[in-house]
Amino acid sequence: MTSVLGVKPGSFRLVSRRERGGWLFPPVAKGRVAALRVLLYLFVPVDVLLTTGWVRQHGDVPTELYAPLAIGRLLTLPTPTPLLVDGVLVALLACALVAATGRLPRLAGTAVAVLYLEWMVIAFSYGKVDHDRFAFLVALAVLPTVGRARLGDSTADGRAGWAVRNIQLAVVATYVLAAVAKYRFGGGLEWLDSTTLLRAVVRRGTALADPLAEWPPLLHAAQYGVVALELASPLLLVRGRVGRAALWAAAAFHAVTFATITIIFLPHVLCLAAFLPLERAAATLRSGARHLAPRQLLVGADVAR
Amino acid sequence: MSDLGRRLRVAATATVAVLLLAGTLVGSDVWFPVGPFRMFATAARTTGRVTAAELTGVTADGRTLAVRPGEVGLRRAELEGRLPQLRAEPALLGELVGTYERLWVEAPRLVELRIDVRTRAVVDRRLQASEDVRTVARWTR
Repeated sequence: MTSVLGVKPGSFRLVSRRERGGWLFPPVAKGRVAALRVLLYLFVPVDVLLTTGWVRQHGDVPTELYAPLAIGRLLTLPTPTPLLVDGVLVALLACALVAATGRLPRLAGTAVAVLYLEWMVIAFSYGKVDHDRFAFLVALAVLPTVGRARLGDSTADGRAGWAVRNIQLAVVATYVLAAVAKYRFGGGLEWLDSTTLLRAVVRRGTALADPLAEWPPLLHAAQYGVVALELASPLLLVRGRVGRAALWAAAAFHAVTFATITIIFLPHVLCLAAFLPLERAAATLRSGARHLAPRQLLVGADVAR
Repeated sequence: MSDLGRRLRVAATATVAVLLLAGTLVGSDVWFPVGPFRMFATAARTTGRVTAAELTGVTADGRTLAVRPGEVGLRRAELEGRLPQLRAEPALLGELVGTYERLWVEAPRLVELRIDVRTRAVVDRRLQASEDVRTVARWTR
């Protein structure tokens, strides 16, 4: 039976927030989770062997200099020794490579999350803690919860949505709470008018940054810019042009920071990828490869002839 | 996704959010990974000093060489964070020499390792040209 409007009775009904998934469970293509897995799990070897290769040397540092983090004390984690550090390193590399292939997503992914956290405990138990890891650790914790996911899979899934949303929230929280930390540790609003960036340039400045030390007003204004950017970071969560602009602004901020004081926050920067429609990129690559294949065959045939 | 799965996920997000907020408001670096994001969060004065610590080694034939903190298994900020302890116990510098020799077997043997602190003044936001270098801890074989 149809109504006079040609619509079946009952086909319109209110869809509850829960059925739509809710803000914390947006329908996100599983392919995005698969792409994030490849990107983040393959970054693990790059991180532990290259960009933070110094962590490995902590096994050789005198144990008197070991100052365990709260989590290390709480879980009674052992004091790093060369054997422990190398053991964690090998296990982490093996699990990350398995997880990057998409096999055993829950088991290998969980192992990576746990081992990488231990790696971070080894890294930051010697008096200096980095603040670029939170989003990456959240990503490693949530990626295994999605289960199987194939590259290019456009099937929308609430579990994938929850994982991606949490990575996004962790990225935004890092920026916003960095501004809160400046308020807390920088004497309230005093930070804005301090010489913190000048100090950073003197201590770590590149050839590009050194001239800035001679021009105080620019660094002073940049401090206002940094806080504005941090506080505006929730715009990353807005869909469309506004979100894209916020993403470009964040990328530009990290590029300039690296060019001037060689700090890149690399694990955090990679997590910005959670805002990109990576599932489409994988599908485009795949269709590109399909289009390429016959031509390659033709070239092969030409060569054979 | 089951109802339980959904509830567990919401609880996980909420728990981490509460811990992170607490870490930011009242925690310190030892709260990692939920400690405050305090990179560059302290306010340097408009008139004050900028200091940087560095390691200097002396070889048996009297040559001095700059030893990067990474060459003894530490980062510069870790070295600076441990400065009071290293000043109080210079013997720890000897242990760092041990680390240096284990990591760099072909490097010349060090008979001395010291920590120099380089200081530059900032006056009314302007960096001053003069520089002061002072040794704050020394270990000799």
